[in-house]
Amino acid sequence: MIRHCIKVIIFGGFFSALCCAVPMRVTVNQASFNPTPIAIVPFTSPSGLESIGNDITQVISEDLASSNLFKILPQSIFIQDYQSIKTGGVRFNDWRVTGAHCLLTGSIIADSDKIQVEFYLYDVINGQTLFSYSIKADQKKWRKLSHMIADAIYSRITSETGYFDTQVLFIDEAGSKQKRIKSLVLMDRDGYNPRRLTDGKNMVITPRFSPTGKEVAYISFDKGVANIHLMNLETKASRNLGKFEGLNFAPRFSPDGSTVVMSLTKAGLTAIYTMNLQSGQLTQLTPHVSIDTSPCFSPDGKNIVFTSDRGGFEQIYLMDSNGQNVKRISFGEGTYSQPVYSPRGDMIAFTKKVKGLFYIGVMDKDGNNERLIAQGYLVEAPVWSPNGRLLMFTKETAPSRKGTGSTSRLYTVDLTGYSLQQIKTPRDASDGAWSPLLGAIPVK
Amino acid sequence: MRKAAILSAILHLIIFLFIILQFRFLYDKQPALPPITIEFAKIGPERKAPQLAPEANDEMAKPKPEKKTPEPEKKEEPKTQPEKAEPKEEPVQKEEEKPKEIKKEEPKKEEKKPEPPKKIDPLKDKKSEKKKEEQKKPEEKKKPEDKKKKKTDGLVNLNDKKPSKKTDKNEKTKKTLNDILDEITPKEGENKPVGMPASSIGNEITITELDALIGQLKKCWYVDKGMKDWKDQSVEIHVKINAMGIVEKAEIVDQTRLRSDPLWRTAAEKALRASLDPECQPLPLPADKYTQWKDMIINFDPKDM
Repeated sequence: MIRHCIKVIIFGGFFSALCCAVPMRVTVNQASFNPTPIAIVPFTSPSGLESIGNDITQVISEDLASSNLFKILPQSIFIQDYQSIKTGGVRFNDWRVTGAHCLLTGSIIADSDKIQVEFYLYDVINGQTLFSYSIKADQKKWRKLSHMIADAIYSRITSETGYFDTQVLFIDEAGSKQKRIKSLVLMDRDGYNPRRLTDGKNMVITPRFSPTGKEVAYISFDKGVANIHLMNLETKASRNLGKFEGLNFAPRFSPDGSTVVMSLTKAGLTAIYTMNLQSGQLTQLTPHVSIDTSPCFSPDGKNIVFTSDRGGFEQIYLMDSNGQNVKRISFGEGTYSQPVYSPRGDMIAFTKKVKGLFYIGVMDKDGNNERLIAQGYLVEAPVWSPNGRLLMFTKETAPSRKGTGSTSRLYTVDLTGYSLQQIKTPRDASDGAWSPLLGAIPVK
Repeated sequence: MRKAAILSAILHLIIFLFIILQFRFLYDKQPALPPITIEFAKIGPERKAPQLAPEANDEMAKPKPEKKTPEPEKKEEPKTQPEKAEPKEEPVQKEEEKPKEIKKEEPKKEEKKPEPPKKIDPLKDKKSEKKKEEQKKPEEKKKPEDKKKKKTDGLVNLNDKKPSKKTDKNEKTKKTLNDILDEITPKEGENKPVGMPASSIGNEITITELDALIGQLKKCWYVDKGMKDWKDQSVEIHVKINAMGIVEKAEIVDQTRLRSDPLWRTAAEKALRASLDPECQPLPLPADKYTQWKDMIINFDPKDM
């Protein structure tokens, strides 16, 4: 009996193994690097605000297209509008034929001087709804709403935070090269709504956003002496943090906003200092034995990256936030300067000069995998977008033989090196700073 | 006497010089042999030649009927028409190899059957091969470009001035050898009785067929190289495919990680779209091996990119 049972078990196992065939396995290790095709059905507009639906659709499309991660499909191939989707549902099989991977629809409802926007994002290939949201805001803030919707789409598809609802601070340059008027200007990331923050009487340089984005630090030269100013962007109230002789660059904030790090020059030698914003206490981190400049905190506040010529040429160094364990991380040809830590914490951007040409480059935080992603007659002052995906920098063109015709503009480039784009500014611009993300829809 | 001694010494000296210097100029100049190029093709376990039964040799020497080679026009056929069931639609590379196979089989034929080589008309085959090679060049150029991309990781780097040029002749040769082995060798059948030809030759999916599948899927698998840790985001998708080569069902294998890891979720959704995208279907899989590929796990792994 036992032998019979054993035989049954053995044969049963044998036949079940035959029946339950193991699926074949294939490894795909090649891919395409194309943007995700998305169909954006025009948002419906309420009566009395007929153009607002198209305007919001337009801004969302421009934001996503500018990221180079999305391909906006032309409306001529669309097979449904918002109404037919609302009544009959999304015909995923038909939408797949258009080549769309994602589909966005939405409607706008007017509520006195406010508007309520409902929008839906679908995964066409997988045939599912990714999210649906409803947000309400002042009618005049329709552009901000559009940027927030674009950020929500970006965040859901890429799993990274967006950067469309942000602001850019820069030095607006007017007048001739000999009598340059430099003033501080704040505008939306896409170049809209520029407004002047200083009157141009004193020269200002190197603006920096605080971690909250509500304050701005910058240097203003009053009778040739550098003063650090801290301005509240909501009230426009400005306070002087003190006069600092030998200050060349505005300080950068620590991630918690309590401390700033800067470089001060004494007797021709520059060292790194931190200053507590509450107490005003100054702490020296490096000795005055070389020229140490352009310090920048890491996103976790544990390290500081800076430029130093202690090795003979300008190179990039990394140290603990207390000044210990200094080590060099750049070793390539040419000189390195203006290092900036990525908000993601994985990369450092920098300016490099080789054989008379300037470059913007990125490297891993340990100095490996250096790549140069932009070049020009003069490119400098890189800053990261709040999601660590884009770099903004100043690009100056060469002057003519007469010394005229040189322009200075702000550009952005993706960290992969693609999608170089100029930021729209009223005039020549330099020393850009990028705010944190201002408003975000919590996308799951 | 003295003269004789001197003469003898001179003659001896000539002989010694002859021996030492060998007077090579006196010999006929042999023509320099041209170098013989040897290329090594990697042979994996799938390509081991199984042992042939002695009685099966004659039968196995017969080449398989040559499949008609459709022109590259087939590439232009829309992929969004799943009704067109053409599982045999293979890239030009494989079709191209078959004329070569015939060419290489000639010496074996001569060994076994004393037939004149002109029967197969190699000249025409060479011409057709050349034409197909010319047509194939744009495709092949993509491979060195792909390899260029591999070297630069696909990211812009203004430091790179001279990207390396690699040829994939070895791959071409590899595929040719693989198909030859497929044609002439029986499947490894331990259970096959001795003396019987292996009727299941070519029943396993070949590397070429897998390459065709990978080449198709890669067109729909969109990877973002700017994403943090993108190389660590490998995803397995379990697919069920019908006999027409259309994916009927696709599922992410690791459902728990889907909820806990947002970055991986993005990669998983992209892999899922790649599996279901009608742009890349029907999948180029051989109809006669349907039982093997109808249930498949596709591992989308970017780590080597």
